[in-house]
Parts: sequence; C-alpha cells; structure tokens
Amino acid sequence: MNNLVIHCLSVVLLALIIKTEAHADLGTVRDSKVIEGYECTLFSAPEPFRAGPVDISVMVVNNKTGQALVDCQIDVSLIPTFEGPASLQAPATQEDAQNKLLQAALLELPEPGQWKVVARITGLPDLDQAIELSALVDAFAHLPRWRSIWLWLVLPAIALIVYVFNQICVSSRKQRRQRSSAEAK
Amino acid sequence: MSATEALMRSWNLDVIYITVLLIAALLYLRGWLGLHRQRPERFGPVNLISFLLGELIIFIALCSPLEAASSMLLQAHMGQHILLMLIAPPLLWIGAPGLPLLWGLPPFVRKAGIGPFLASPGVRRIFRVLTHPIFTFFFLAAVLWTWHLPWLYQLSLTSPAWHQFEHACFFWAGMLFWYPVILPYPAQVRWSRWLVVPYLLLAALQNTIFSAIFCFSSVIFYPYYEQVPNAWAVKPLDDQAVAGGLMWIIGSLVMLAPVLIIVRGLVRPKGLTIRQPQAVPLKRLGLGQSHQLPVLQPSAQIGTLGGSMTDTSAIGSPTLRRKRRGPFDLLAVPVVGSALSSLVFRRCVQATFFALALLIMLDGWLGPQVASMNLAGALPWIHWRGFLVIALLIVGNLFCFGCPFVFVRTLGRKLLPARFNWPRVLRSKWLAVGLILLFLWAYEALSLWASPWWTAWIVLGYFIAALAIDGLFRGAAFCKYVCPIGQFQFVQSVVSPTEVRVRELDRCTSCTTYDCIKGTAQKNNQGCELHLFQPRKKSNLDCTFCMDCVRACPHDNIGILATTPGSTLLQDDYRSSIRRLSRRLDLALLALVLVFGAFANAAGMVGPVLEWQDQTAAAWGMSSRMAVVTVGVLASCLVIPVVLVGLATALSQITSINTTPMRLAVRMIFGLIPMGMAMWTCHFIFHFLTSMGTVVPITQRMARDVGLNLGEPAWILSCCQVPPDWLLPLEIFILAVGAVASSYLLYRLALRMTRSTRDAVLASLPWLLITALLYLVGIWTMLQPMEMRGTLDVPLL
Repeated sequence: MNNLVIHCLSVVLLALIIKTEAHADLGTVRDSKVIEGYECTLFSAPEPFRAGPVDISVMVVNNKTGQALVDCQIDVSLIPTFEGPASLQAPATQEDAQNKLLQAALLELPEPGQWKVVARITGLPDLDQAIELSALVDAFAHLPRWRSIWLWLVLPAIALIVYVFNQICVSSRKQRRQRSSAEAK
Repeated sequence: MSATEALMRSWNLDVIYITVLLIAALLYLRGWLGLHRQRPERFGPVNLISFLLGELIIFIALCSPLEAASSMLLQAHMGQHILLMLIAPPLLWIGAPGLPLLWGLPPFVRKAGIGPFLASPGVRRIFRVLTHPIFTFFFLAAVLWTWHLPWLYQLSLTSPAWHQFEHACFFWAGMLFWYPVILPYPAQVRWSRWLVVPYLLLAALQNTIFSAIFCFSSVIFYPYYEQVPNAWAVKPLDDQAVAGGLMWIIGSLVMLAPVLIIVRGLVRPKGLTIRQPQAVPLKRLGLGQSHQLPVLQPSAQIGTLGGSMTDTSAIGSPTLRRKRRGPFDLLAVPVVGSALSSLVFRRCVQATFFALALLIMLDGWLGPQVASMNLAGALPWIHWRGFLVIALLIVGNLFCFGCPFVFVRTLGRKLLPARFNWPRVLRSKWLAVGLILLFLWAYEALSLWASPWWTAWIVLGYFIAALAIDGLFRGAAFCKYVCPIGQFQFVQSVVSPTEVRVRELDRCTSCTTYDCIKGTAQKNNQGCELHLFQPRKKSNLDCTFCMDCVRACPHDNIGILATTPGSTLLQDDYRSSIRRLSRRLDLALLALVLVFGAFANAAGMVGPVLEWQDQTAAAWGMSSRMAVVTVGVLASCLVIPVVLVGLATALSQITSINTTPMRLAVRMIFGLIPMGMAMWTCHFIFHFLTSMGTVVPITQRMARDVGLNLGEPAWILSCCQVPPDWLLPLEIFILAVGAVASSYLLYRLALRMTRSTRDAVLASLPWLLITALLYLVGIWTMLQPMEMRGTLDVPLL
C-alpha cells in the first residue's frame, strides 16, 4: 500500500515540474523561402495550434553573411478562411520573441477553424520587393483556461495525499514501536 | 546584429526555474552554515561551492541562450543534455545535499513533515532500489536511448511541455546514476567500491556506442533541424556529428576521470583500522527516535568523492547534535532590531505615513477626480494594501507599528488627557464587526476605490475618530475596539511568521514589577496599552507591534520571535486580554466576516458579478446597484457564512465531539483564517503588481501642480498593464497554500475536540467542504476578467 502511494506521489511530483502552457520558441515550421540570399522561415506555436494565445514568429537569415536580421518590418496577419471572426494583424518584433534571433507577434486567436497565416517582410537590405510567407493552419478549439493551470489547481489535493501518507508513516511507526516494546517485555 | 549576438540576448528567465533554484540554494546555505559550524571537516567550502556550481550549471542549461540555440542546433541541445545529465548531478552530490537541505528546513517541516517519510521502511526500500547501481545504470541508458528516438525527440522539439519533461528525465536519470559513484555523505555503501570501476567503464562504453552512431551516421536523425533556418551555416549532418562528438568526448572524460580517482584511493596503502559502522540517529536531526540514516562503513570512505577519506569517528558523535538555540529573533538582527525597538524610529515612520496621509487628503480634495490620476485613488487602494499583506506575510503587523492615526492621537493626548474608561458594554469586537461590514458595503456601494474625494474624507474621519476616542478614553480603545484596519491586522497577523513574545518564560516568573504591562515611570516607558501581559500573551491578536513592552521590560526579555504561522490557533488556553478563544464569539464572527469578506470583496471586481448586479438591479426596477450591493454584501459576508457555519456545526455534532456547539463553531471558525488571508493576499497583490507604476505619473502630476518639474506625467504607466504570465499561477498557489493551511488547522482542531482520528476526520469534513468551496470560489474569481482598478482607461489618455 505504502509503495503504491509513493509511486503515485512520485509521478505527481514529477509531473508538477512540467509546465503545461505552450510558449513559442520557434515552434512548428509553417513556410520557408530563400529569396536573394535571404532565408525566411515562418513558425507557429503552440503545437497543436489552438484558439487562444498564439505566437507567430519569423526568422530572417542572410545566408551570404550568416547574419540574423532582427529589425525587419514584419507584419503578421491571421485571416480566417471561414465566415465570422475578423482578421487579426500585428507587427512581429524582437521584443516579443523569447529567442532573440526571431521576431514574434503574440495574438489572441478568437475561434477554432482554418486560418491563413501571412507574414509580410519588408525593409530587407538591397531588396526592394517584399517577401511573403503564408500557410494554412487548422486551429483546434480553445483550451479551457483551467487546462493550462490544472497542476496548480490540484495542489491542495496533492498536499492532502502527502499528508495522508505522512500520517500513515506516523501511525505505522507508532505500531512498530508498540510491537517492539511488547516483544521486549 | 550577428546571429551569435542575437542569441546571446535570448535568456529564458523562467520564474519557476529561478524560484526553485533560489529556494534550494537558500535552504542548502542555511543548513550548510549550521552544519559547518559543528562539522567543518565534513561540511566544508568544497561542498558548498560544488552544490552552488551544480545549480549554476542547471541554470545555464535551462535559462541561458543555450536553450534558444537548442531549437536550431542539435549540438546545443546535446550540450544541454550533457550539462543536465553528466555535469550538474555529480556536482550536486559532491555538495552532500541531503543533510544541509534537511537542516535548512524549518524544524516543524523537518520533524513532522519530512521525518516520518525518511523513517519509513517502505521509503527506504524504494530509495535503495532506485539507487542500486544496476537500476541506475540501465535507467540512464534507457533514458538516453529512448529520448533520442527520432519521433520522441521531434516531439520534444515542437512541444515545450515534452521538452521540459525530457530535461527532467535526463536530470533525474543523471542524479540516480551518479549517486553510487559519489556516495554523498551520509550514504551507505552496500558493495565493494571496486564495482564502481566496471560500472563507469560500461557506462562510458554505451556512451561511446551512442555517440559513434551520431558521429558516423550518414542519415539525419531529426528532420526538424533540416527545416529550421541555420544562422551559422552548419550543415545538419555536420551538426549531428559534432553533437555526437561532444557527447563522446565530454561523456568519456566525465565517466573515466572518477575511475582514476577511485582506483587511486583504493590502491593507496593506508593504516586504516576497521571500525564498526556507526549510525546517525534520526533523533539527532529531530526526525524521529528509532531510525537511523544510512551511514558510511569504513570501506565506504575509501575512494568516495563526496567526503573526506578516513573520517568516521565523528559520525554519530554528540557534536552533530544541534545546539539548542532560541527561535529567530528579529530584534536581535543588527540595525533592524535596534531600529524597530527605538521609539524615535517609530515616530519617524509614523510621521512619514502621516505626511503621506496629508498628501492623500489634499490630492483627494483638490486633485483630479480620476482614481488613477490621483494619489488618493492609487496610494491607499493599490500600494498601501499591497504592502499591508506583504508585511503581514513576511513579518507581521507592521502597519500598526507605523500607524499615522496613532501618531496624531499621541500628539493630541498632550491636549486631551484621557479620563474615562472605555464603556464596559463596548469591550468586545461587536462594534468592529459592524464597522467592517459597513466598510465592505461602502467600498462596493460608494465605489470608494474610484473616488479620491471619498477616500480623503475617510482618512480625515479616521484621524478625527482616533483623536476623539483616545482623547477621551484611557488605553488604546480606538485600536482595540474600533479601528477596522487594526481588526483586520490583528486577525490576519495570526498567520504571520513572527510574534512579539517573551524570550524566556522563566525570567518572567521571577519578575515582580510587570513593567511590560504597567510601564516604567523612570524611563518614561508606557506598558502595553492594549493590556496584553506578555507572559500570558499568545499569538498576535490585539498586538499592534508598538514595541512599548519591549522598551519597558527591564530584563530585555521580549523579542519579535519566529513562530509557526497559525499554530497558536490550535491552543485554547487563557490569553491575556483575549481570554479563551473558544469563548470569544465576537472575535470568531469578526474572523468569519473577514474570511468571507475577502471573497466577496474580490468577487465584486470581476465582470460576471458586476453584470449580475446590473441585471438584478434592472429586474428589481432600480436604476442603481445600491440595493443589490447592500443585499449582496450582507448575504455574502454575514448571512451565508453564518448559515454555513451553523450547518457545519450541526453536522460535526453527529460525531462524538466533546464540546458545546457554540464552542465548536467558534474554534473552527478560526481555522478558516488562512483561507481568508490567502484571498486578501491574491486580491491585493494583483492590484499592486498590475498597477504599481501608477504612482510615478501621479507624483509627476502633483509636482507639476505645485510648480515643480519632474517631467511630463508618464500616464502610459497607469494604462493597459497586462498581468505577467506568472501572476495567475502565483495567485492560485497562494490560494492553495491558504486552503491547505486551513484544512490542516481544521483537522487538528477537530482532533483536539474528539477522541479518535476517525471522529476527527468526520467532524472536520463539513468544515473542509467550506474550505474547498471557498477555494473554488477564489479560483473562479481569479479566472474571471478583472476590473483593472488603478489603471487609466485608454480614452482618457
């Protein structure tokens, strides 16, 4: 019995150190183009893609110099392919990216369904034309908020289990003591 | 900007990682200091440095730019794994963290919390299995090979949660693997140390095979690295080979170096006398009586990396016993202690608060009537409340220590010598209960937080009330019976970690002057104005932290001592000026109103509740919310709590409770205080953390109004502050701690009023359900869209 409790406890405690929210650090590659030596890649997160907070990031690398360009003008759009919600737009910036090699836009996707992700990159040195990256992405339903914090929510239950186990240990110790003192007598 | 330069700015300063690492470091340091004083040869600087280095390595692996690079380069990702699996664990084990971490814990947690687990034969059996070399060897190999399977590895690259789980696996596999090698003190050796040699050689061999596959393969194992752009122009196959090479070289070095050290230790001739193994009784660590920690046998000492080579004599010696010291005393801390016990310092703090109160009143009457642009709208409702709960959680009732209202009445007493005694009929908390209900109602009904004008009048009213009451009546009648802020502080400070109390009770038994309560005329020190006789004072109830008793005591026998938060609520013995808690229905009702008031007050700021109020007012045919708010406050703060308590009491009575229903109810209500405190903390901290910048533009605006130039008001600081990601988890964590503390107190209270554990569980069950209900209400409130008080509406900008 004790061992079973310990095993359960270990699993729960191990799971506790795993965070559940998905924050993009690259994420899933959605599109990539090499134009005039500029390698541009579009990423999305979380995986799987869901309604709610999403992170669209773009990485631009000059293959000739090996430089990562982090001050391009990048406009990110999320356009629904279905009727209902309006399109979303935001500039992608280095400040919003955790990985500073990228420029990211943090958006709130209102509804599930198929969305077209578009990133328009301008202001690249020696390149007049804009580079456009795009992809069709299927967004799943919004994850209920409690799902992203459920590990925090069950903390009291974990504490209760630990306490119960603690009390089991205490009472078994008492029993052992009583047994040994009875044997001594 | 070059790719490397951009990468070097990519720090992943995760609050949870940093908090865990800091807490571990602080616990270790605290424990190490204590043990180092007693056993410097066993717990030396090498242990400390090694442990901290191990933590630094974990920080580098998880928070440095290596984390960002690992998404683009396999070699960086492999570097992370090497650090987590092969570098950090041995360093941590060399720090011999077991005893220092235990020693660093508060005694209560160590003895009652961890002790029974460590003493449990089942736990010890499992620990023995987990640290068995055969298990640790195969576990590390399994983790290493399994996680590098392409589909699993790819999964970790696209999912942060799996990525973190992967790192946890590598770290814990590494910790287990290195345990039999290092044998951190006081580990027990169960096999010949010679077995470590093949153990490490075999591990190095499997590492070589693993690395060679990466080095020489012509197939790219992880297509993800082909897809992501490569800022360093490294071909994926080359990257894979370099990753394998890193693992090969570093892995071999890390695994073979200990072989040499251990063999050298084993073959070195020594005149070692074989002694019988000695044990460190757990009792000496305060962990139990009959069980022992694993010990080093003489042979175990030879060739271990974690401790000195020959020392066994001191193990289990009385020197390991912790010297009995009193609890932590804040007044014994240099500078802080003398400042807190100095009357001049207190007057300075009070004068500062008084000056702020004057500014608040002036700005409230004369400034713009927009809360977020006015000092009276921001300072009391955002900053002061935030500091209030933080001070309560860290120290205790510090607001009453610096109370500006008492400052004014102290000055006024020179003009208005108090001649009367406070009416006997009012010597209870009933008046305070009414005033707190009135305040909670006014807060919602009159939107006090949004009205600088009302706020200024309330502050003025406070000053007049304090001056009038304490000018007429002896003692601190205003503080003890009237002041709602004081009552809030008294009740919540029972869960504070410190308490003003006597250092040594024995000294008080020989005291005949009772200066702590009577005062000393010679030194012009007054005794406790709230009639708390220190030797019989328990908990912070009714204590204003004024330090009059500290200054009056001729024996220097009163301090601000550490205490287990909430523990005094379990006792029901006589308390000076409070009497027995079980007979204080007024005090219990005060606590109950404050507990439920916390939830009602927080719920009053969330969208769905405000909508409900509007809808109900419309349904009642009213144009304002006033009536709905009045009914709502009365119901949520008084009627519902009383009904719930009545029901819980009736249900608890079914079991064999050995007390009257009234006493049962009164005692159990006190058990709910931590839950209420948790909710107040969440609420106030939310406003504080999301709106604390407001004070900057307000100060600039006020300075401009009086002709000073501190720059244009940066109103952007008052607007649109997005709560940080970690705020919600922090709030839920605080609520969870409150729920757990309340549940524990309720169970322990029930245990004291019943004859068996079963009865205690049954008797406490209804109360635990109330706690669970409050917890869920708190969570629901936290998850709702908040009315961002103290922040400026965008159109106003």
